[in-house]
Amino acid sequence: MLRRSLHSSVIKFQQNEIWKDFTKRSVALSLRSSKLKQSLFVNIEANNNQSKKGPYTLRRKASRARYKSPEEIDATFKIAYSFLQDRADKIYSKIDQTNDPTLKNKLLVKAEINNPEVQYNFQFSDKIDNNPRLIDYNLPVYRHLGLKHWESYAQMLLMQRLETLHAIPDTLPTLVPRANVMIKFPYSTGVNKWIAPGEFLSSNVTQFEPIFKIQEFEKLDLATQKYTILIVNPDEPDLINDSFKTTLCYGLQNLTLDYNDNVIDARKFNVKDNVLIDYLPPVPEKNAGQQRFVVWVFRQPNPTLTDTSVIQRDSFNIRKFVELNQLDPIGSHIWRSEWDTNVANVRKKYGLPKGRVFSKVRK
Amino acid sequence: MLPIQRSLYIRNRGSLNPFCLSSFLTLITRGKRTKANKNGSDISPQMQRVVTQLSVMSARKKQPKMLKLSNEDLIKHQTIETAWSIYQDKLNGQRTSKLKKQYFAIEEAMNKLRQINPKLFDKCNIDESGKIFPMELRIPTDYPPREIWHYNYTPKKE
Repeated sequence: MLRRSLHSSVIKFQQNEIWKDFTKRSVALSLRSSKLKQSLFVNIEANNNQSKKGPYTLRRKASRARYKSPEEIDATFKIAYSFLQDRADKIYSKIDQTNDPTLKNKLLVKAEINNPEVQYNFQFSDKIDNNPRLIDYNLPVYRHLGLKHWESYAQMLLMQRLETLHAIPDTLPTLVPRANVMIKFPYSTGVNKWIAPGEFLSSNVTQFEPIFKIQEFEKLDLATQKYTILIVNPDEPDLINDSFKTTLCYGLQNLTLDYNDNVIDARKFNVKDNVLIDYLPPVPEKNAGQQRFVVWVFRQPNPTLTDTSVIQRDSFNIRKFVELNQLDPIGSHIWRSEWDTNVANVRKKYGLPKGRVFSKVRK
Repeated sequence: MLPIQRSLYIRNRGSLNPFCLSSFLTLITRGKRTKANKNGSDISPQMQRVVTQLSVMSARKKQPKMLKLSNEDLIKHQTIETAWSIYQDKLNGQRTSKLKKQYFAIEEAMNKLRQINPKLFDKCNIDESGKIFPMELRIPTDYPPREIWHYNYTPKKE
């Protein structure tokens, strides 16, 4: 019997399954669960009866039975997938010919960004505490997606907080944010979360040094790149000058990072090589108002700091320190503290003198 | 294959809307006065009841329900839309490059013409803005007209 077909002789996609080939590509570019894979590519691969069972991600049997996919979505997806895969294949062959590293990085992003498996991994898994099997920031495509995700909210929030709280220019003139800096305090204090920039924290929470997480998005040689972290408090009352002075609360130097393993806590550094100055917890004095604690993260131009002569706890000049060591600020964070009833306990724990109590009229 | 399949997908996606009021609402033109209805209401009492009920209902309920997609279907949908936009970009690019080629070919030809025959070149460059399609020109048809030739026709004198 003669049958009419729809242009099947006109367009023929090549059967280069580059997105299914993991000999050269990382496994982080694929879905982890084989059942999920089946569910996503339901009608693409022949002889599986996933379509009758409903989508795998709906956990309850009743909701799976009730769920109805949009009509023709599988057939359309099949064509769209092969169209995009065909393009990716061409881009990969272009990558093999280029030697320019920046262009190569760009093309690697372009080749994988439309891969539905990559998109699934990035959209439906944790981007901060990432599992390198799903989101591997060593891969340019995940770094690109991570950067776009950060820019869409967290980066803007940080800059807004830094500007409205005048952390810039009170500490450093300005910041061009390039890395996502996050802080967290030990769980023993009761707050187990990544702190949002500008939050008020009680002195109980901040009594031990924070854990830092620095997510780099740029292509760097992280084996040799070293980092410096400073926490400064620009709101220490200076009665003699009738003003405020900056206190250096914490300083770390010569830290190394990895794209995935980038949490900096006590396990990652030792006191002798990395600690510039010990942690001084926030102990605001009564009626001194709120105090800002600004975290600054720098890329070091050299493996070690060249000049640490200006490092001092009291009246610290952060601008001079940055200038002397030619540090490159890439990220920042901020939190606020106020006097509370626990400050006395923290002072006792660290052997600090009793705090002053300020009044409206100077005595 | 992609355009056909996508149009199928889009068409069927539209039919999924459980509330399709648009066709119903176009039937009723409220407040229109006609000869048949001097009192201003040309709809039956049943229809009037429906209209009243709809006016009581909030606008949100009258909206078509948002489609809830499973994670897989959301990714599939995004993939389809990306592929479609890339395909369209490709077509647009081809169209623009073709037009560019045509433009440069015309430009080259005109430059040559200027060198060979400046008189013709000037004739080609007469400003034709405001010129409309000549009414006396006949559009080609399958059959000859009933009146073969307008013998009495004289063009307008300017």
